[in-house]
Amino acid sequence: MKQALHAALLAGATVLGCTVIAWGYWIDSIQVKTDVTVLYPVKITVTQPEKPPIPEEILQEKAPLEDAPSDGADPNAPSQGGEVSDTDEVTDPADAQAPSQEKSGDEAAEKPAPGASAEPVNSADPGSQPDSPAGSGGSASADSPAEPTGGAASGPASDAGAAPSGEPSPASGTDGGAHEGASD
Amino acid sequence: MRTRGLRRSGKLFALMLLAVSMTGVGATYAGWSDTLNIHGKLTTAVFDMAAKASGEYRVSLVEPGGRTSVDLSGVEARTEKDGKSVELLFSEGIPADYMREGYALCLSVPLENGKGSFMNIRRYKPDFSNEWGQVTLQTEEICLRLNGAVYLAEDGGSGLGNLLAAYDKPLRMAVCPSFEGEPESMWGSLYLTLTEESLGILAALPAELELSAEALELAPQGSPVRAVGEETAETNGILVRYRCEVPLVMDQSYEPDLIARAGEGEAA
Repeated sequence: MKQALHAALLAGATVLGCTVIAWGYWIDSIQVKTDVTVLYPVKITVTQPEKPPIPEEILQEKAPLEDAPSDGADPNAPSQGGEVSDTDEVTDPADAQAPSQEKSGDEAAEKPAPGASAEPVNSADPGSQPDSPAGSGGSASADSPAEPTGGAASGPASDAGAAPSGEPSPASGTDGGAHEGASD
Repeated sequence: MRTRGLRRSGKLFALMLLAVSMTGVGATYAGWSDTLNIHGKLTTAVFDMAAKASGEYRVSLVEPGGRTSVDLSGVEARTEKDGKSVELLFSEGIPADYMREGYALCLSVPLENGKGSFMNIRRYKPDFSNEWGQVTLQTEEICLRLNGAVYLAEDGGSGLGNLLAAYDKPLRMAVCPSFEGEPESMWGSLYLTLTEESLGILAALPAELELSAEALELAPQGSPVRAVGEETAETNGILVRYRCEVPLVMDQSYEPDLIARAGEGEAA
């Protein structure tokens, strides 16, 4: 009895082994590898860090220095002159639309108010046409004081990428008119 | 005494006659016989398929009905020497909306017989209702694309990696193979469609993202990626690169009237 069971087990294992071998012999496979990149459209909002307000004493000290070149014959002189006093902002309301980044006069002339055309919210929309090249308009943030993020402002990444070269203005808009090209 | 000598010589003669006759019979037999040895080897047919080293590899997006497809451009292939492994390379990204709408990612590989192969392969169209199996797409890299620039979400202190952690999830795709084309130019195709579970993962991904400019400044930049249907890389969003390895399995469970033998024309 024991021998019969042993023989049956051996026969079953043999049949199973042969089946597996035959099945394995009649299949073939090719390994296909690839990298797939998927794009998830997302509305991206870039927030600018809020800067502390400049003390009034410093502003008052700077004001006479800035008035001198502005009265001078060369309005395109590179500046320190990027910063314009608050009075300019008041006298020239158009400056409020100009980007607040501090730039030299030449730079400002080359890039006439790129931030003015920049619409931070729209530029963050998926599929929108970015109308400002990389590195332009350090802070479109000043153009959007009504940004829902409060003090933070939104803008394209290219704007943010240019931030180190320029000095982004606080969202409070105190430097909103600081743009010589526009003031010309 | 004389009689005894005659008897002995008679016996000797008889023995000699017997030996001579035996020798004659042996020589005659040897002269009229020959042997021809035939060696034969009987084996079953060899089933060995390989990916063509040079051929038109295709990657496309096929709509659920299978009627129309969008071909991805610039597809290249790297095949192993034995043709048992192939890597498809293409630079175009796939908008997630295609995947959400049920489009299948189709990877097509031109096939040929391996060395000494006798191929019988069943030719059939993909049956999306009957998946062959599933495969996992592992996340390899996550980037952020903003106004054409690509920022890598690597751990460089930028914090982008944490912001985009929601996208670092593997996706499961159902696989449906098919074998199509003429016998001289057979194609093996793999159709990959997102599973219900993975569609749920996609649906849960955030549609809006808020990040700081500082994070972008610190993030390393990658090379631009163009997505299917885009003239330029402009759509803002998250780019996720997945690694995918799928076996293209061929078996002999063919139906007799659908056999296609490579190089032999249509079989009955």
